[in-house]
Amino acid sequence: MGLIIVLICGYLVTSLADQNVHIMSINPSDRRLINDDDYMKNREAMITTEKKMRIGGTLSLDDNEQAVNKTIMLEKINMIEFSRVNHSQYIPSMSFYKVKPLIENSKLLKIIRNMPKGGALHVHDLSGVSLEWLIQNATYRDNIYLCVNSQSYIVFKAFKSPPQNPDCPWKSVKEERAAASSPEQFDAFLRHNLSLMISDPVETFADNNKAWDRFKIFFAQVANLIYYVPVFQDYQYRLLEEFNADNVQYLELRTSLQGLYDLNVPEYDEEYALLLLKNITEDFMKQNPEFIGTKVIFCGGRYANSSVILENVKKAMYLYQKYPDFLAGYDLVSDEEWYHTLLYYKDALLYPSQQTPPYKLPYFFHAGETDWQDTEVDYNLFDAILLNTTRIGHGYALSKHPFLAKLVKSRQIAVEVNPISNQLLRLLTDLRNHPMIGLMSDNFPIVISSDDPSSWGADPLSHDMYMAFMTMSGEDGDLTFLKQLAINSLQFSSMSSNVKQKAKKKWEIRWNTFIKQFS
Amino acid sequence: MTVSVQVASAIILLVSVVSSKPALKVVRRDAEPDTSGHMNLRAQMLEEEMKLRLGGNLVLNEQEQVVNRLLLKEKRAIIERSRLNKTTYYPALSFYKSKKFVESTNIYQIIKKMPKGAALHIHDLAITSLNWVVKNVTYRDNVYMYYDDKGFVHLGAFGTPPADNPEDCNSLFFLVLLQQTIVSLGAFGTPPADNPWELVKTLRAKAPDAVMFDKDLLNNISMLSSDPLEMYPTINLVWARFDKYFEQVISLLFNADIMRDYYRQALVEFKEDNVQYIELRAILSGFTVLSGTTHDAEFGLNIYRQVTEEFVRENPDFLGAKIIMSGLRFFESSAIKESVKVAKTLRLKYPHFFAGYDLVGQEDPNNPLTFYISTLSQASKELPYYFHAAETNWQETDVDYNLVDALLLNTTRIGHGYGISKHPKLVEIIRERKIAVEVSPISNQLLGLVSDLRNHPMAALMASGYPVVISSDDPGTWEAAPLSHDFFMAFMNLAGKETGLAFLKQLALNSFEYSAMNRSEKSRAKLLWRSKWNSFILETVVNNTGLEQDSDMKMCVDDNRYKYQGLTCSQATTESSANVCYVKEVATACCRSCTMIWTGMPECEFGDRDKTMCGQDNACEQSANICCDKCADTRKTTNSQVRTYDLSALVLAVIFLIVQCCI
Repeated sequence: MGLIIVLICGYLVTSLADQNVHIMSINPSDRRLINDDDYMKNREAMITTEKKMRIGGTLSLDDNEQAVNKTIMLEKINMIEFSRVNHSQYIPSMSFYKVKPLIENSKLLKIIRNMPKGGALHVHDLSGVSLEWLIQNATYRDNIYLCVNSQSYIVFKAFKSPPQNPDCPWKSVKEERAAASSPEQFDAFLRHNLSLMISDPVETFADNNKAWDRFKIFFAQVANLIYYVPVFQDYQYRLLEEFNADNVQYLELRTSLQGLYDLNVPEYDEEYALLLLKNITEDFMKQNPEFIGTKVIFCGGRYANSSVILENVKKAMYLYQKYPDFLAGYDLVSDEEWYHTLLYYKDALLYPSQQTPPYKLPYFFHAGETDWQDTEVDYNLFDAILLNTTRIGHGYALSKHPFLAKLVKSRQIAVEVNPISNQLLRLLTDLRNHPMIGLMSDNFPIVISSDDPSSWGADPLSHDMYMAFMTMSGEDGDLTFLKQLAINSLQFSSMSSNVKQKAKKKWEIRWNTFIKQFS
Repeated sequence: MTVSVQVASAIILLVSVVSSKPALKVVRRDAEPDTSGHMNLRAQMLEEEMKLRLGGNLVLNEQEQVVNRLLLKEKRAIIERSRLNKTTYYPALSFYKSKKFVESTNIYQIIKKMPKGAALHIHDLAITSLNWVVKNVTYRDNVYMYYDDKGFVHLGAFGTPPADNPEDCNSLFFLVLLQQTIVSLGAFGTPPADNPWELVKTLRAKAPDAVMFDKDLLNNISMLSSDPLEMYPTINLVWARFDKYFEQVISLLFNADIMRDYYRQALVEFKEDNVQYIELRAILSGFTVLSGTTHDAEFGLNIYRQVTEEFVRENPDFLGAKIIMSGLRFFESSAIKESVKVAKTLRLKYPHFFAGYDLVGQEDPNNPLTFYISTLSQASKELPYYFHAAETNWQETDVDYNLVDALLLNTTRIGHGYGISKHPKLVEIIRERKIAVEVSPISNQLLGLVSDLRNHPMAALMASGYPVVISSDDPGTWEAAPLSHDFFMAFMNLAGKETGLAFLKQLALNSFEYSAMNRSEKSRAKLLWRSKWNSFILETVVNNTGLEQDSDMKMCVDDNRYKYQGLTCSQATTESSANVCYVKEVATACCRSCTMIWTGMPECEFGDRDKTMCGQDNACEQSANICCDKCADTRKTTNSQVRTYDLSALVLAVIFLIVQCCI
């Protein structure tokens, strides 16, 4: 008897549970249809008002775009509702390390990859090309040497013949590879040593500091491989190829312009590097006329002292005057929480504006890439805005500064948001908590970029767009959101207004083709 | 004035940071740029920003400023120590990991003593410490327990333990709530085969060690016996555990006599934690007595009312409580209709004690407010609402849109409102209509919405002075203090480094301002609170005299350009065998790196003088002076003064670690 009761109860419970899930997953909006007409009208009005306020809220879609929209929204809503109602993990809220393999077959990601996304406005030169290319191409060249430092990290450099280096003796990569049991195994060893993605960064690094320490090591590892001019030329060309293949039409590349060398010249100057980049872009444009172009943002390191930065700024002024169409401006990079503040460099950074007549050097400062509210890092936001920055890199802390946020909006200073970078460098874990979401719901001038995509094996821009779409816009955030982000990326670029007009036309053609090809 | 003090301090801080960094080597040929314009504007902007904050307009008197400096000094030290030395910032970790650290800080001790006003968002079954439940309630007659198939203890109080399915005892309460409407829904959970209820007394007597038995019992019920962030990686898993807590204690706490004592104890604990007033969300109906009779909502309300009145009579410096009746959001519309009807009657009958109505239970998978819209909108004119809304990360879903409905239904406050920062229109409305959001930081963290509390979306709204109150939701579940831990978390994570006492004071003031008290109740409350506040300030000032004075503190950073035998500071201090911090030049240039290994021991300030040598087993026999840290114990026994010195050295070390603390 008891057993029968147990069975019946068990059945009842499970069937109820099933039914429950079933009821909820049919169509959640059904439950909104309650008779109270006036109430529901008010409600819809309120929701509509708010939807119009967000990024893309005022765009309307034509019939063909609606078709694309339907497809992407189907996947988005299904994924959200499935997870929300059926008690399962929401994939895009996890660490990108885990997300990446799980979304490989996503139709939505495929569409985002095909979508002309406009510009990537926040990308660093040493982590723009896939690691695979670096290993399979760059390290296979002549004269490349490696050494393993005391922390067991591989460091690369090119030599005619390597000097004595007892702490970290140089060995020819070619010979090492030949001596290995197989080239594949050797390459796997390199990959394992270089990549930040051998384990989940969100679990490996306890906090933002630890993540940054590893991240800086990565740059030290590859810098002299990439800055070897023969590699550099191909690397930069390859970078454009990869971004173009990911349907990014325009690029603003942050680079130090320093440290370039080859077997004969120990160090080239910034102008040489800039010209090299200019020529590469022009070559690439000849081959790919639908590409819109590249500009360079010259970057000093926040670890340098003030006098170095002053020299840098002067150099930037000289270069900006000479190549106004190619050099966009100046920025300071590297671990913001650890190194010097903008205020520390204020003399150097105010130098251009205090010339007679004032010289206008555009700035593109990284600022407020931090969780530390009210610290000197956080206050970089004040200085960036006071120094008349054109855009703000990251600006992660901006939402905690209502006064500055207002200025950013009224002056249309765009914030370059890099979702995956913020997550893997451990500013936050679940991207649905990204502080920019509030600002994006209020149509702040925001662009999505990818920061250092190759360091974590991300697509040049598509993965970041995917994450922004799935975690930083609501369940109803649709194609208009993505389209507006693409438009923003051109709107807030440093192109002159004439060029911008042309660029937008170029992009529109691509966009229409993309939409047409879909149907 | 507060603002200007804060701004001024911020400016001095920044200026001194600059001036204390290494001077420029290169003499510039160009004229020195004039930076005063930049600095003036910057100071103005900072001041504007500070004014916008929660508490930004409060003026602190002199004594309050002393306490403010005290708080800020430690806050800055904790933040900058962690930021500049790349060490763990404990307040941002899971509460499971941070609790000990939190309690060790002076800030926490001050917050604990601070009259915090009201706790406006707490739930009936999770307000009293588990320790009291175990040490008091489970020692009573008629208290039974059993282990379910997952190993969780369930507790219950019965005249005679129910002969049939023990899960029915849990569901008994649901049955009563459902009031004959759909009795068929009575089966909850999986029914075990035999009756496993046993007297706790008997089991404890049988156990080899009663202390261990109690400890196990507590750990079995507490959500903090392991780290919830690691144990339950998704929201739904952690909610399953959270719901389990309620299942574990429900048959116990729905005994009317036990609830009377449980609630009284809650008032004792909240008062001890320096909370003056509470608004309790309570289910009200379903209380049983040992004879087996179950009672209605009015009976429940009267339990709380009588205990509150009695407690206030005995403790005239406690302001009392009000009840917010809670329906459950997984109920049928008809059940909620009934419960709203009851609520309306109770509101009429007990207008001073019965504050209003809310719906509780996990929002994500359960019914949105629109599901009950007819009932709720009809009653919205007579019945004040205090809706939970958007306790979620799911933007623009049904759960998220509960915010829209809560506002349309004229809610008096919003419970959690975690999703509201993503709604620019709605935040405009709550500011205009002064609808406060009840924020419970630890609850949000442990229930999986955000791991690092510095990412809490309310930080932005608090920086912008929105109507916010801090509460603790279910402190009993995760062994938190009634309110102090949540206040600490808000202070250290949801507010910036330069946000001090004014923020905390404003939160206390807000808690009265946005309470359900009427005007005369409010003014009485503020009067009482003010006298408590003043004596708290006085006491804190007296107790901390001496601690406040700053010694000569310098900027402690590594010189980035400095190289010792080709090594950078961090390399030199970690990689070489000899301890280079004993080289005076290194200790100066590598202040930050060397401070990190600072031991505070005289003659051994930076620990062992040689790694390789001191790594050997017989190091203390061979070279005790070189391995001064490793061999410290042998040295210490001969010198009793070392210990006392240790303490002051620790203080010194902390001072060293502080970047700058100018006021």
